Amino acid sequence: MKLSQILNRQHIDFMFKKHWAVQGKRFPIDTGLEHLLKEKGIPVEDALEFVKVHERKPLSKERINIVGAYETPLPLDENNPDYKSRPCLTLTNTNVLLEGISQAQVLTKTVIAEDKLPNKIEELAEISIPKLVHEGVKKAILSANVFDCEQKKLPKVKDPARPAYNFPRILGISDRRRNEIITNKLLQLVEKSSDFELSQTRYVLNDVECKTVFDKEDDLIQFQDMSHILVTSNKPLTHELPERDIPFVKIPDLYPVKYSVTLPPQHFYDEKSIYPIQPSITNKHPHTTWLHFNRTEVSNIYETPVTDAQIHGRSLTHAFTVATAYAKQLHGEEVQDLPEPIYVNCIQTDGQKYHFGVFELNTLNVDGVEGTKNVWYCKNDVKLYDRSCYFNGMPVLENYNPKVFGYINAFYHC
Amino acid sequence: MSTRWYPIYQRGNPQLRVFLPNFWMKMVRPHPKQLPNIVHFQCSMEMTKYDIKNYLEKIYNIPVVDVRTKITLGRFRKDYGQGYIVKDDDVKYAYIVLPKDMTFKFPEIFDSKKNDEEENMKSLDEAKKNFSDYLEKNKDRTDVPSWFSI
Amino acid sequence: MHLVKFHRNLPKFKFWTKRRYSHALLTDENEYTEAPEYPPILDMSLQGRKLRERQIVHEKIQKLNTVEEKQIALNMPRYYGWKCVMLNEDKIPYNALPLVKCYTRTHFIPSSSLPDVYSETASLADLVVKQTKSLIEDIIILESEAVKHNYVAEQEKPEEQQKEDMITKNIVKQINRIICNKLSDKASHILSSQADYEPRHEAFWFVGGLDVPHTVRNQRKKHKWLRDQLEEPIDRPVQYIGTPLLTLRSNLPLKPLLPYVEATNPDFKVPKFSFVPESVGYHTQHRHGTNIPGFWTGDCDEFGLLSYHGRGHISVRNPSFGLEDNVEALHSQALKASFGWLLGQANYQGFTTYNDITYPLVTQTIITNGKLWSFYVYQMNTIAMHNEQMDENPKHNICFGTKPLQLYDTIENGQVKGFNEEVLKMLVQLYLNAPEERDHEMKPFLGKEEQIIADIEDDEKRRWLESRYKHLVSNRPKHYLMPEIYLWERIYKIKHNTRFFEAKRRFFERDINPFKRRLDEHLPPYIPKVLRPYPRCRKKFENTYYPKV
Repeated sequence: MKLSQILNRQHIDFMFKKHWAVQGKRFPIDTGLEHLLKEKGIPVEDALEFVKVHERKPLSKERINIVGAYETPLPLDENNPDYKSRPCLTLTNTNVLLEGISQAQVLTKTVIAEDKLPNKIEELAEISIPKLVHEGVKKAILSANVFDCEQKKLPKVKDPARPAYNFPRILGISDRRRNEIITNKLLQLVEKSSDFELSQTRYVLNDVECKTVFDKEDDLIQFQDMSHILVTSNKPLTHELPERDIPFVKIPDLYPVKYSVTLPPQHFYDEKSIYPIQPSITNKHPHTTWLHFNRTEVSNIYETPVTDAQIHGRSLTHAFTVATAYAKQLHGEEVQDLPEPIYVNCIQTDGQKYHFGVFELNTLNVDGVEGTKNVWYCKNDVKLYDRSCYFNGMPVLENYNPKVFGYINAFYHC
Repeated sequence: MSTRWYPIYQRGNPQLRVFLPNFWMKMVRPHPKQLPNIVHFQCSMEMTKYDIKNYLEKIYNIPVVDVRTKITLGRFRKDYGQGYIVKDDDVKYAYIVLPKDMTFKFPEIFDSKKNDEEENMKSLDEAKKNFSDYLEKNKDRTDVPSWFSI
Repeated sequence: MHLVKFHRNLPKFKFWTKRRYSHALLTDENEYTEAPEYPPILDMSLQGRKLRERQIVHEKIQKLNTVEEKQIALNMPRYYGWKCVMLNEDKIPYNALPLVKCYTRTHFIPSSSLPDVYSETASLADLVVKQTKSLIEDIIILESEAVKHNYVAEQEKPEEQQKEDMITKNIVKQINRIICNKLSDKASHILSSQADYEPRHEAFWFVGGLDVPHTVRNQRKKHKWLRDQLEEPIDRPVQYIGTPLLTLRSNLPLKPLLPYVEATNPDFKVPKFSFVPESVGYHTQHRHGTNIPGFWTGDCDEFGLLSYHGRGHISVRNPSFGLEDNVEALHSQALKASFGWLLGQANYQGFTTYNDITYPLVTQTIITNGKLWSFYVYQMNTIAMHNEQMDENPKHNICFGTKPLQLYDTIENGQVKGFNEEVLKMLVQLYLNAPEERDHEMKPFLGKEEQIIADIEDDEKRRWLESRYKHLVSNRPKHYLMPEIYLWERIYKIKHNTRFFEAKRRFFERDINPFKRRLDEHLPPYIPKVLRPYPRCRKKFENTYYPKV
């Protein structure tokens, strides 16, 4: 006897086969009932016939209109009552301009003073800061990059040489949290080391949204931006202007690109600008706005990596948004040339690199390239440190640059 | 399955939670060590936590603080005589939390029955003892029937 | 040639020719003593032997050098993690206080003001309150009404709770900012302290002497030798997880509220709560025990000053729980949060749940929603409460706490009505409580040179331990799923033996309990042949450096 016969005895398919063989050939057992009924003269109807009769006239069922527990939102299309036919080109804080700083210049009608900050800031930045505070800054850098306990999934690691290879996902501090920690701690240090007389005139807000809507030539444009930290003061920020003969970078000609490239049009928008603080508050004047550059959140609309020029452009549009939103709250929605310029300091960072800027808003009329222009003084790409991470299981902080904290301190004090 | 359909809830309707359904609850003996303010019930599978709360509050005026429910899997057993494995029905348990100053003790309804059982056990023991005595007495004449004696 | 071979093999022969059965003669003359010296009488019962085994493990953990190794050692017995009772900061069932008191071994003293230690800073606090009052009123108005914050609701938590916590977080940040700025020139500890926003606080410990869950009792019934110990109490691993809104920490610990001898005061005895925690409404989860006080080891600011917690979860609690229970819920939140944070800090000082602390630690906890403020001051005296220690340990932790106090009554037309200066004063006093250097050793159970793994000399060991520790505490899902008994197997293989003809390959058929697998019972990473060091290396697997416990 073959071995397979014993094995097949336990074969589950045999059971099924046998079962189907039995079940497939079932026929009704004659109980003799039909004969009995016929004898008594009771008519017998075939069950299949009976079913067929009822199939011919199906019962009409009344459908209940189920409205559900809550209102379903209307689809966002042309038939929506909030739909506006004129598209609004939107820049949010999660996307960047294609041409970076030069496109931002055209959009905001701004000339740039590269590597130049107002004299007062440069002077304040030279003030020596106690060693204790610098120790605090180092602690802040380490606690943001190394000692914080967040363990979130970081972006996928890709090797360009073998793009299909899946590396294990690394858990660590997300860039959003890293930036939040380091900027907040730096600001806390600045405030703690300065006089209470000064710091009580300032106010610090986290994660507030500014929005500005304006016309440029034929287009309607809105900038929606978020200040991760907004320092406000009880009187408007002013700057002594540096000497007039600065080599300004002129507003460039973007041809063949149009200034509105990579600004996705939106049909659902509100034409009112938003400044997050109500006008009745005394500490409402914007002073310094901190912008985080979180590499996992900010991206081009076409998947190319974000370039340095685009990051610089982000600072400019951000400062412009805050300044115009404030100006519109101050002077009304339709204001064009301002009686007095509005200044806003802006610091953009990805934790390591700092981009400082001072924005001078002279006009909200951004058509063309002639007439009054806004001015952007900036100092870009200053590194706070070279490397700060776990290296071989040890926390490392390399090449701490004390100048950066000097600038941050100066921005707060000016 | 309830024999009555629960009316479908439409927005704006009053929430009907009591509508003469086939709801039932049966109090069961808790685990030996249990917080004194917790009562265990078995209940109808269709009852939600709200139903249980309303049932106890509206019908029996019991202050219910919290209700926790769980559905336990029915027992699997071999069908008697057939050899199939069949499954008993699942049971929904409800744990009712009373206010913390209240205590609940599961009533001892079958106290008397317990005594009966003890008596039965006693007589059984006696019979056993008699039998062992008898064996002891007759251990040297094991092959002689019991009726063969003086 | 042969001679060379022989020489090479000589040590091997030496091994064989060693005189194994000979002893050195006892040279000690004092073999006989006046009074007979007997070896200690050991309890040779099953429990006695098991107890000794456990004690040896505890001693081994105590002798480990670094903090992280101790943490890995705590998790060594379980590959798939401990089945922990989860104490979440913001999920509080009805009647939670007795359990929390017992599990944290805390005597809670309700009071209407702060303990006497704080009275020395009262006058300074009064001054500060006077100067900052108007600023804080401004903050309350601004944050409650005048600012539009951008906030994204998460799916996991109720929206109402998140909204309340969001507003609270902003108010707390501002108040902390004002008070810190004001005090930074008056109190030096504020200047050097670090403020963390929403740090990760986790703590893990064992609570012993608890009732046996009936599943365990059913297991015990199966074994003959365990039948007489059905009700023997067991250890339950407990894991606390919380996220304060804001914490302040500094490099020195706070002064103890009461002298350390007070810890053994029988007045502070905590009633035992031995019912299974599931009956109160807590759930369990398989996870590795983690002790994290908001930062990794190596940060120099290791001691907490104060922590702010939100109370948004109170607003979404079941209304049938009642207002009184809500206050108790706040107390239990404070006990959990204070104990959890301090336990994390104590673990970074080298103590574990098996090796009790040798000095008290203190923290200050505030639970608030911007309007209602409750203040707690917690002194931790002991962290040992596992099975052997639960009934014998005479020490208890102590917590002073207030009811929720109103900072203000209402906000009307941009004005704060009924501002309560007493509450602000208490808050300022908590800030003014200055930490102090202690005159005893802070880390008696850690090594002299190596206290954290960053101090380890050996590069490979350091790297391995660092990544293993981070991997462990991240509690990320295992690469292979946990072994599982499928329902069909339970029915047709375990409960009813209907498939006796099949080969027995599954773990439950081979008497293997996968949950008893130890952490190091796995193959170490394989070294591919190309990567092995050059002339023939037979080492196939990388080294592992699990602590030997």
